Amino acid sequence: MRWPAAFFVGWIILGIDVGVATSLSPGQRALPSFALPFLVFIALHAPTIAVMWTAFLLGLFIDLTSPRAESAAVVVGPHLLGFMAAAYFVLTVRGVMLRRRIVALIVLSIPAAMLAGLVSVFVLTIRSMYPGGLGVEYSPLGELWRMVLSSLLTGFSAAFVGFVMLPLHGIFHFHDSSRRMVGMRR
Amino acid sequence: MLFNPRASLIMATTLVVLLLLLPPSLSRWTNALADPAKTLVYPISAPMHHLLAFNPLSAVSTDAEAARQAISQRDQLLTQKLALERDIDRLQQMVKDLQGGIELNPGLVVRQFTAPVLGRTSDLSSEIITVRAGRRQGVEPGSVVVSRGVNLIGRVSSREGAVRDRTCEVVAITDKAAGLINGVVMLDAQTPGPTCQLVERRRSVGPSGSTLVMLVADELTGADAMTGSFRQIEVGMTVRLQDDNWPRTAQRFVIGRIVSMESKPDNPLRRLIVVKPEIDPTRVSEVTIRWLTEAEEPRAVSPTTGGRP
Repeated sequence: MRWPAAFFVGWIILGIDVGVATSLSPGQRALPSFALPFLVFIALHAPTIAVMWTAFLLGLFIDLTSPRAESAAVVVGPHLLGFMAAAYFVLTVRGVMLRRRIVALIVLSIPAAMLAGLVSVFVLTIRSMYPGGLGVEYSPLGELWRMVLSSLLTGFSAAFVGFVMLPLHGIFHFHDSSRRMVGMRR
Repeated sequence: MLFNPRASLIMATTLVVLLLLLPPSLSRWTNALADPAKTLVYPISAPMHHLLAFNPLSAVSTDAEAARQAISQRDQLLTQKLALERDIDRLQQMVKDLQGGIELNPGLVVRQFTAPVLGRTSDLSSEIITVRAGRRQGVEPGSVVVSRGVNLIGRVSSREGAVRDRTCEVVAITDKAAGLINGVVMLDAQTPGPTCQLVERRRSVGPSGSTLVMLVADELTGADAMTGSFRQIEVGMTVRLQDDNWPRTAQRFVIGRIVSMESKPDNPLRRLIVVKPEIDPTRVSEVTIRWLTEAEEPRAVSPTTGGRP
């Protein structure tokens, strides 16, 4: 995978995720994610280690830029671990998917977002058990419900990301394992 | 190989998990990483936010707000227009009334002054009104006071002190102090009929207002029998002033309209007409005071002699 291209596109996607998600959010309860469909797109095509590092970095930046209570510390980990779990899920199932289809991106983004959200809620719930861990009252059930809605909205953002990313597939210079298997190197 | 991606990833992930398990007081240093991350991400997030913050619905909302303001402004202008039209109508009526008053007495140099009524006396038994016009405007005792050009209201009181610098007292024709009044019943707009003389004032403080009971004088001479004028008097006819005791400028002004006719109690052959002033003198808000500037030197009337100064 060509990392500079991934960094650049990832930077833009993070900008959209941070800046635009709130504008598109209905009632500010559920937020669509643009970073996760991008991660799914990477995970559908890139080598495993590259995918996991992409998940690590995307999650890290989202954790660091997430809003937090004024007196609380930044919690590094919820999105990072969630994205890594989602990436691993896509890596597991990508062999049976038609990777160059927007539908595949949409279909995988929704459960991947749910898995990422589930891990994130779990981590934050653990963290909220610490005195002053989050600085705010945390409701796991409410967050789970919000996570489900966000996952469904992520399906729409996945369509947008897929519509933009699939034509740009070439700039990432993904290593196509399926072609290598039958000896069709480009 | 210095950098092993797989081992580094495992190590970094382990560090993150350990960091999550640390108490918040020991992981507060991660706040220092947030600002550089935001510095890196926000430059691209802000333009995206502004780009997608443009919501066509919000533009429509702005247009709707502008439309509401425009409608409100239109309503205000329409209200102002209607008020101006009302003022124009009032002024046109005033000009017409003033000109009508002049036409009744051609050849007299009359000065007119339109003034607001300040109020009436607190004594309910009298109908004296106070008008904001006095010596400074040239008002003299005995000046005729009319409303809407031709409707007789009364006369400026001749009592000492009644005319002050800025105000004057007006004795309404319905007040007993106005004395006797002679008039003429108009059979139509131009034809004078029998004369009549005031015999009684019927006072009313209610909305109906005071009325004047006048005796049809010509019946005494029998002229009505010859001209048939007695039979021609009908309710609704106008009674105009025809009295030498009043200034010439007041002659043929309208006293009122006949509202009913009665027989004289002690002489059923004589008719009494009940005349109600067209405008209740006690309820008028604006009057015109008229007086002669050259009483004995009649000349052509100039249209510039009347009106509000």
